[in-house]
Amino acid sequence: MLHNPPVFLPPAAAAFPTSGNPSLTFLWMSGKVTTGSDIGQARRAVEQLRMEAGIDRVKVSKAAADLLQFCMEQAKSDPFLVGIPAATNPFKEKKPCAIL
Amino acid sequence: MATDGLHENETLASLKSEAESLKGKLEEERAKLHDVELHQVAERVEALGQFVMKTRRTLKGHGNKVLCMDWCKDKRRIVSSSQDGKVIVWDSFTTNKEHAVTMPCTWVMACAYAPSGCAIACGGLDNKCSVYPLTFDKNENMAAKKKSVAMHTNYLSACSFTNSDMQGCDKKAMVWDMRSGQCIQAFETHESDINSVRYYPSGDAFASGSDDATCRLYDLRADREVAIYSKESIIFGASSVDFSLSGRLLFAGYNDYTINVWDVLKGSRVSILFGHENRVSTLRVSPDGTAFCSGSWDHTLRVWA
Repeated sequence: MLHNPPVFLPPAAAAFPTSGNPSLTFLWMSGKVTTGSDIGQARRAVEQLRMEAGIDRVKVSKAAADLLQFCMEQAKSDPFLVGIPAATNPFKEKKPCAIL
Repeated sequence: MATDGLHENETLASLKSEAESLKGKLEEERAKLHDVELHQVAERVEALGQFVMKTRRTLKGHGNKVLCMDWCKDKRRIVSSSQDGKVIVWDSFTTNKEHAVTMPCTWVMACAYAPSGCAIACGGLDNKCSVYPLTFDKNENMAAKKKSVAMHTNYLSACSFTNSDMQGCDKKAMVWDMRSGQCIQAFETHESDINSVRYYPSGDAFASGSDDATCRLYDLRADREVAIYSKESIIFGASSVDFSLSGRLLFAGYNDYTINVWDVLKGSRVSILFGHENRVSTLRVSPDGTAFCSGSWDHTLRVWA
């Protein structure tokens, strides 16, 4: 646990990744910072942009290919794609059976 | 607030113009790597067949708009919260209500199931996140066992909405490193407020649903938007989104009462689902991916498969 946990403004929604780097990132939608002098805010904005401009990026072709590959590999275990027989899907109606 | 001292040559104007030029540089860097579109790369992928998805269960019991829901890891139980101030735990197979808690305030904006399945967390206009241990002992008063936890020290497996101030929303999606508290990436391509975000199953991308009637996919490693899911006929905002297990399908609930199912890779709509009688406010795919549940302002939840 952090000693001085980062204080986040209440978000409109957030999400945690379930794979990749768990516990490292989450998403925020409300981007407002409320206080700080104008100069301080402007300086922080510049530092933030400098950092964002400098990150490593991969080409879309590579990123897209990886998304595709993940999808294809997982497709066999995706019930919506593969389909589950009504008998085993707890939500689908089972065919009535008759006792002979 | 104490004013920060000015460094030499630094004025508000110079900082602002530096920020503008950095924004330009950021766009340039992103554009350099934009060599292809996702749907072009996906052309060689087989198209999806017809989907038959229907409402398999309708959960009735809330007295007002359903605002949020979450699945339990057991793939069967669902927790939902409503503007009526109640948080209900359902058995989605039988549609029975297993627990009901009345919250002290009415707008219960969010609820989540603890990974252990033994507790639920919920919060709303009271700006608190409260955790309720689930007990089957009829003599125990669930509300009496409630524990309030502050937001940023609580680790929940899902979301914690604590503030209903929607005016605070803007069109940006930001990715934060929880350990440093730093924003590492920001994306601003939506034309209106973003209502929902969800990570792609691999963790390398995320989807967003917005009031601008589109859903978009952002790749974190390419650091840009890579797909837009929209149609001219869709003019109402998307309130909630979630992926199927493989990430191939994106389910999105809209304010026009429908749910659209998108082919994430090809960018096309695969299916449109009708059933709710008011806005869809929340949507989650079950942990084993066999079904998804939607909650609506029509006071009900529906399980689709």
